[in-house]
Amino acid sequence: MSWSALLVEVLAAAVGTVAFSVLFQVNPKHHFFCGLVGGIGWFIYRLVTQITGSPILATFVATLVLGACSRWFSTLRRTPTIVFLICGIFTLVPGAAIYYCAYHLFLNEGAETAYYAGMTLKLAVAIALGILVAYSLPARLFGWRRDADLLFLKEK
Amino acid sequence: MNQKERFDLVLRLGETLLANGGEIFRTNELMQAAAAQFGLEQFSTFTIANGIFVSALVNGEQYSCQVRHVPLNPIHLGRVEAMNDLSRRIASGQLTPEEAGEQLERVRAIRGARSGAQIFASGVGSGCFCFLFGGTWFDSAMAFLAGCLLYAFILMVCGRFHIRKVMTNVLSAALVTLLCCVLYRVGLGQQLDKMIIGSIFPLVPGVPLATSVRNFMENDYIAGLVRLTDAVLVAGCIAVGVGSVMVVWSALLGGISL
Repeated sequence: MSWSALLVEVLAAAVGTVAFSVLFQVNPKHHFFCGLVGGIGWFIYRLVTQITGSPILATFVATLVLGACSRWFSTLRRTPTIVFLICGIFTLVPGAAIYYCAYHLFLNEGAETAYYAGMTLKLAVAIALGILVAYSLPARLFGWRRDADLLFLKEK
Repeated sequence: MNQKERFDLVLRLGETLLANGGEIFRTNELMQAAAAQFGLEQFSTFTIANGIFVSALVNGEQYSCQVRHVPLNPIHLGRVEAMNDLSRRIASGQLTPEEAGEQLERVRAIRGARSGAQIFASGVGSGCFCFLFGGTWFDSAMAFLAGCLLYAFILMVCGRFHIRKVMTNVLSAALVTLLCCVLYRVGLGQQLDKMIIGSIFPLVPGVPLATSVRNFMENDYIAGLVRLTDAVLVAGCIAVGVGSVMVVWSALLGGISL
């Protein structure tokens, strides 16, 4: 895959993420950063898929990176992490796998249904693990100070 | 404000955060911090994806308990952000209960993007995701149209006539599939499956599924089950909508490889 094709894809991912952040009613002043997180996530996903050939590993790494970016942007923009995280993971969620699974189920094709169901589950677990690891990184990495009024923004 | 009103306020704070898509542990944190600031004793919470249980000692002698059902609503991150700001100020003791109540009403009144903007955004999102899943530029343009139609239908028809969530999902998935089939039939668009995946993407429960697995990993098993059930049900509804249109279409007119 050429770099220019990758760039177009990353742009499409960023624009798509902004579109879904409108549907999730994100405050318009954060739209740019939501798009940035979505673009970064897709870029890492494609890169790792190219290198390792495993979409599940790629999803895990991409979620980890975009989770870390979300935490970083949340300190930068003084906004809860979830705003960037939910919009950003939209490019990685197993939407197509869910669709194919349900579709083959409807057509009574057991083998395909089982394959896509397993795929959906593995992708969902990879995303959840990525988020958990990103949340476990020490808060100081993202510029948190031990400050009383930051008490509530601090992540678990 | 007396103790009962403060107890109600704490519950409404948590309810607002949870209903708009706040995480469960954050909802608990918010209610604990607010209860500590507003002087509620022995305050305890139990939160799942679609309900809150709280109890507190009122007037030093009687335990008071409230249960609140919080339906799984569409996510509204603008309100989550405002609630986060509000909870930070409550936790640092900057607000009296009266002021917090006023601020809470202001957060609950926050409106989202207008219908026109949402319809356009749904189209753009559909088009972009069709492209990411391997559709051509032309497929993406068609997915844009179908995505716009999807949200126009959800907001204008289903919202206005209070159609139930299950039927909304079935009908809107069927509608966009029908549109994609018609477009494909008249020669607009090359890959039907990519067009359909793109255009139903705003419906597909990817985020609820990921949240559900995350809840399981954080030991919120009931919340995880509630969200998982919801995600599977929504996916099933979409499949019924898409599948029935495609089966009927291919039986009547042919020309679609199933």
